[in-house]
Amino acid sequence: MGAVKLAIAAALLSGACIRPAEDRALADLDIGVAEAGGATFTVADGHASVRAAGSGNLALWGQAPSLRIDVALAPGAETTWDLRVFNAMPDAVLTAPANVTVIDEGNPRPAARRWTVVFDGVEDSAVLTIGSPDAAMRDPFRFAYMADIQTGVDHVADLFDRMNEDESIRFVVMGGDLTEDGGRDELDRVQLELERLQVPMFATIGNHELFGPDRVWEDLVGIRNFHFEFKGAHFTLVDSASATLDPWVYDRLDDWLDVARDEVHVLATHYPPFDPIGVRQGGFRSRKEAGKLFSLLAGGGVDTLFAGHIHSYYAFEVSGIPVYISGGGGADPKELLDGIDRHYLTVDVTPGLRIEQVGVVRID
Amino acid sequence: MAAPGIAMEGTGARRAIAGLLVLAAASPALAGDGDSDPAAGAPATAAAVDAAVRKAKPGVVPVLVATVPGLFASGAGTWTAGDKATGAGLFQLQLLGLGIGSAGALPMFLSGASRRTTALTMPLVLVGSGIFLGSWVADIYASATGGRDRAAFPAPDIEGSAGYAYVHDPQFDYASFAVVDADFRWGAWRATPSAWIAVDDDTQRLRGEGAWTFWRRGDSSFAEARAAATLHRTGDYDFDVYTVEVSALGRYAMERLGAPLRGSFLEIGIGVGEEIYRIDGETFSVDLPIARAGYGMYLGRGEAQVYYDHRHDELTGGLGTGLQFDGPYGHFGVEGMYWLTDRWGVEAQLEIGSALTGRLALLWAL
Repeated sequence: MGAVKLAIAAALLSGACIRPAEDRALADLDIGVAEAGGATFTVADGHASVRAAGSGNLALWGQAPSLRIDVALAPGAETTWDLRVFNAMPDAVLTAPANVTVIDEGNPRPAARRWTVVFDGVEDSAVLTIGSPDAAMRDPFRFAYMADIQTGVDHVADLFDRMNEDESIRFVVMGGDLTEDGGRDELDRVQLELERLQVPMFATIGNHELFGPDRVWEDLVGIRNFHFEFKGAHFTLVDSASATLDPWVYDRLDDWLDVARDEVHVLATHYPPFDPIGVRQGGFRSRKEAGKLFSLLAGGGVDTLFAGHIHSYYAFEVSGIPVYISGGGGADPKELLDGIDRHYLTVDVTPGLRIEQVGVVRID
Repeated sequence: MAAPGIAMEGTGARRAIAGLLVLAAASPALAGDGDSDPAAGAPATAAAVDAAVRKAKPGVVPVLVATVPGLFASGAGTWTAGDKATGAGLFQLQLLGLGIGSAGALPMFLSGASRRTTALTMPLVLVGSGIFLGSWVADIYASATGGRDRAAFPAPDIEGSAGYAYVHDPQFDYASFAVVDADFRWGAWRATPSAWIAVDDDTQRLRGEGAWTFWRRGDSSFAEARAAATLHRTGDYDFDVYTVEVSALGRYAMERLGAPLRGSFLEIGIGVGEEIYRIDGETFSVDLPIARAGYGMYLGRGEAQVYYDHRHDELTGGLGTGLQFDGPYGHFGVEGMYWLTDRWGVEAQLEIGSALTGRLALLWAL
């Protein structure tokens, strides 16, 4: 019996070693569902986490510029709902069927929206959509990219204030390591700082989030592996916090590459698959997997890959795909002798065509 | 393939290099403790060995002491077993590893792993860590065995190996490989071609390695320089990797440190390579750190060792822990070979990292 137990333990251990991100990947499936007051709300593709749900009120944290919410009402369900969406596009509008009454309650914070939604005329279900009025227009836009705040949270307002000065930035893509140790207090603090940012920040996790319980990210931010579209450009954010992508994520990635094959497609993840300083080995734990990923991305027509993890700035190219490593969110220790300190990137996109330019905005 | 005795195994033809022996020259611990004759490179005298064996009493308690506090105070187990001189020597060895590792880790941390200094600091971290961990395993060995009268088994001039490898890597479809390799030896020179061919997938790994043993002593200690070229082809994902590398690897017969370590050896290797990826018609090159630390024991007609391999480019890449700092770590393994007759032998290997790899092979000598 001892040998059997030992074998089982060894198998479990080896499984955990070989697929360290599996549990996190599967947890994505449970994001964005709330049941309260006789109603069930399901955010499509897990694009928002449920921050609060009670009879007549629902609060979400958005992870994409546009949200689709499927609402199922049981007999006798609460019909009047206070809907708050944090980390939302500041100009987002809520679109509902004609038999649903929507009252715009304004923006409680710059990147938050609030509505009163009345389902009086709804028999059993309805679909709500939330997004910017121009989200489907294929015209040029700018987004920002950053990663690695960690110990720099006390001064991250410097970055957010600089971003606010650029009104052309529609949202921020965050490549992970918002916190140093992944605790709830830390992530709360980052989200408190985010209240000053005029636009939402859509984020995947970094390795520093792994110090905290998985529930912290799921409760406060939500999904880790996701894909969204804005103005015809596609964005894919994937969890590489264990220096690998789980095979389940590759399955999802295949689908996302298919839908975006002929469009501008940006991929963001925490670890760079290859560290350009190879002896440092700051990339994926398997270089064969890094080769596989770039082969898939090249075949899928991905335009640019953004990563973080290394507290500096690098720009290089793999398999024809420009790769930017930008870990300038303020985390210590910063890479020395690299000629750059805190910074973020701005990215100009012409949907259907290309990434026009990637700029570096230095804070220090 | 694993080669017996002082000839290096070429399985995976890995790896590595450097001169623990060069570093060791600066260590009082490694320079010998009086039981041996460093000038002649000869093992300890029989009388001295007998005296030391009488001093050391291996057992469960010394092993426990060596395992737990021993990780941070190497030699504690051997000390507990009664051989204070060897225990002190292992502690010095650990301090040597700690010092070398710290000399790399501290500036690496303070510089944020700067691109300007990593090539200098990383080798120190890897070599220092190898010596540090090697001293720990040595203490466990000495505490468990008290030393064993086993010596390196002579390697044949020509040996071949053919076997099967199972690779469980959820990132790829392959699982079964046919593995063949051979060692050709001429004096101080060795050539080792090898091939891993997936039988259930379009993946092949071909490698040629050459080595020159530039330093050798009669107690099985040696150091060799290596050069190798590898082609790894992954047809299903349509990318190839071409690797060239140079490295050095040293083996130190641990009996030089004390009688309770008879029959065991420490290996440290370090090197560097350059990988060229051809993906979707484009090429990308990146340098590759190479390092290996192993602790082994002779089995009479063979040998076995546990090791850490820093390579991230092989079928088994870096270990995943699910904790905060995955990525830099390499993988761990255990391997062994044994000559059943003068002509035939067996070889086995198990590695865990980004994949779980097991290999069984038949050896033959000419």
